[in-house]
Amino acid sequence: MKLIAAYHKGQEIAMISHLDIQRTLQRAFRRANLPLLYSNGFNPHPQFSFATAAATGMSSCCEWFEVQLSEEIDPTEFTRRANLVMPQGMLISGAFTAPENFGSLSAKLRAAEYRVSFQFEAPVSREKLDEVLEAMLAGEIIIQKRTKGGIKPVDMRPYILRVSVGQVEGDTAALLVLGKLQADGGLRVDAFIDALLERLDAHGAYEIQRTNMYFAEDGLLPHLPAE
Amino acid sequence: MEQTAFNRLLSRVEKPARYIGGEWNSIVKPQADIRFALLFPDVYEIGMSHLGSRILYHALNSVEGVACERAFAPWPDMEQVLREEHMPLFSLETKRPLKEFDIIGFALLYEMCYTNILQMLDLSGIPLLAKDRGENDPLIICGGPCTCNPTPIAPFMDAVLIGDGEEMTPEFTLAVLNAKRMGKSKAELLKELSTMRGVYIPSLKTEDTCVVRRIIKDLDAAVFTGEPIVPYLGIVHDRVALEVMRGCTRGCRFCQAGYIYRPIRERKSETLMELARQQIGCTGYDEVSLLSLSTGDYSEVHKLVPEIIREMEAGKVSVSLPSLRVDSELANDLSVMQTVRKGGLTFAPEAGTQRLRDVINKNVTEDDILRATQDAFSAGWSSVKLYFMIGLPTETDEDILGIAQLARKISWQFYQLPKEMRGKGLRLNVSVSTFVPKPFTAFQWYGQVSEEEIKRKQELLRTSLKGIRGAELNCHYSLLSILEAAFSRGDEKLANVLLRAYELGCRFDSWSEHFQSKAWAQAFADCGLSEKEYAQREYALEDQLPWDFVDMLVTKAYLRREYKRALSGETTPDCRENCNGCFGARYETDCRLS
Repeated sequence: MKLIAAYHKGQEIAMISHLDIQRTLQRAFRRANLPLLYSNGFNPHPQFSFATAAATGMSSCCEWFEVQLSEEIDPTEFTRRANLVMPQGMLISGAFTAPENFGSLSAKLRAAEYRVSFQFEAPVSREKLDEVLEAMLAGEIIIQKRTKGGIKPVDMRPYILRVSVGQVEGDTAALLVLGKLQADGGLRVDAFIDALLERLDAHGAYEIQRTNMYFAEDGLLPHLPAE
Repeated sequence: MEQTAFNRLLSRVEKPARYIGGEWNSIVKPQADIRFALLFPDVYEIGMSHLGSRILYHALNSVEGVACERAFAPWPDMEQVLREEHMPLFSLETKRPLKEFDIIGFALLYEMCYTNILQMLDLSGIPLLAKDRGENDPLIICGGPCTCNPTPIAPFMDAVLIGDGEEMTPEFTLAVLNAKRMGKSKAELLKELSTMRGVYIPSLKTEDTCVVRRIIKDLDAAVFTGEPIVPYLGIVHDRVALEVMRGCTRGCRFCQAGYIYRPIRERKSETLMELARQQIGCTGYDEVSLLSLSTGDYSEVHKLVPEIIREMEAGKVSVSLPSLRVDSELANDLSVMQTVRKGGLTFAPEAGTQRLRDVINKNVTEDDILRATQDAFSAGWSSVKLYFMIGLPTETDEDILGIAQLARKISWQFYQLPKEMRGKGLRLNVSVSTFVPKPFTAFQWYGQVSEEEIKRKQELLRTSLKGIRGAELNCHYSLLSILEAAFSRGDEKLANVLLRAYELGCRFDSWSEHFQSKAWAQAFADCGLSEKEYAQREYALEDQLPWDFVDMLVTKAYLRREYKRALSGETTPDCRENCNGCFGARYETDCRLS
């Protein structure tokens, strides 16, 4: 059977890489004695795949993945057993059994929502933020993207679906960003935020948390509300 | 420190997972009577692969009231961040500055990590020299194989623990706790600790000092690693490691481990099976490695190996067997092992001719090696690694050419097999290191050959290996071997060289990208010393040696006997056949074989 599940990547493990996450999940499932289905061959390994990678430095509460199991297991039971042996900062936040011909998560993925928390060196007002964002979103947002063929300028604007300013208080601010995210490309949130800081002429640090992933509508996975 | 600020800081380094802690099975004790920081003077991925540290971590944390936490040498990028932020080096478990610990213990596995001891102390804001530290500074101690000659690092240490650590370290820690409770001064405490077997207190050294190595008698009953930590980051030995036995009876004359871990002590195969189940269960690892100096000599090897492979296979766990010797009766087990992953096979003939193998007492013949490789090739293996040393006592060019001849025979053997019966392409890795004379070996009096000579020998080998199908030469860096030789047999004057080298920026010296040969040369020169003189120094058999005050149980008289036999090409049989009397009369009863 194929199980679809989401894991939570807490702030305390935000700095680990996607490869580390894969290894960690695999070992936790082995500790939980879950009936993983292994690939054939001399080096059998459990079969996992992720909707998308969780970038180093980013925390998340909604990283969807699929795993092949050799036996039927109740998704609630799967979650309960896995969570008993999860390291700090990591847990399975939901799971369901994939119906026949479910397809792959990465092919269904459409968008993701991010919460960006700023810690500015000097206070930035809500008005200033709104104003700069509006100006930015009215035109192209060119960032330098590293590709196989070298560094290429790419316009991020088409990938941005919505940006809203959350709480602004003193030298802190929160931003909610909804961006396209598909197998063939998507919004580079960190690059967008770097561009924003530059336009704001503000200095400071920020943290990114992925708060939602949206998929093509199938009645099971979260999807974008029709606009 | 707040998590957000901490993450922000870590975003500036290459591998932040080295510093976050929180791994599965790591032990965090918010309350403790005494705190022990276990330090490994190299990077996380290396330090976490050290089995001894994992044993001590568990042994110490099993004692009520004792908290043992870890720290590893910060990589230069992290060192820079710590300095810029004026942030002291901290433990992974509670992120406490190391200065706040009661005891700081370094695991010393190789000499070329010594500058990182100084780096870690310096980044903790702790005075480097023991004489500059006060009552409120942590007690700085060390243990591990390098401590059999503690002289070069003694000035930095309050205490040196010599020998098996699993009983001694908790005992030492409790003695410190007791003294702390009684309000004893550091001087009183050190005096008391100096009476404990295995403990050397450099500040109390006199002409009569004799420190006797500590051993545990029953390995089967000894504490092991408990529930081992499962790192987030991929580490060098990322698997369950089981110590099958400690000690080796072969008596290879160059091998320090072979002498300093005597007598041989084993774990029962049932114990090992049970440990394998328990550790796989609580870690989720998919590989078990059976460790020892020579697993083929384990008395129950033919029972344990097939049994563990069979049982582990059912849970998709593979078994790896490093340190299997050439002359082990491999063939039967090989047929079982065929069902598991085909890792590379490693053999260590060490020398290229029978004459030289007799000198070093590597009791392996060319026929043994060729029989083993034949078996392996027929069973489908196609990757073989051969270990050799150059610069061994009495070595001539004929011995160097012998290495190439052996490689040629093995290559020929592989390509003799019909295509359908052999693996794809042969990978014959010839790995050559430079001989480093070590204390407490039969060759402790012998000087290392000069750098020019090492280079010439390496060149000779490179030329003679040309045209051998599948052969690939791998030479250990020679300058590093010179320093290793200088420090392994060094004296107290080298402590100043270490201080100077650290000042000049030396760190992570065993990493070629960080090794600074010029700074090292300057450090020696600034102290009026020469690394070459130290490395190449020949001692006479009756000379006083800097490590004579350490009693590693194997007697100097025995080592002298072995040295003489070596020079006359006489071999010494495995002591399981007949006791060779290496402990002399004094510690005879410490060895069940005598």
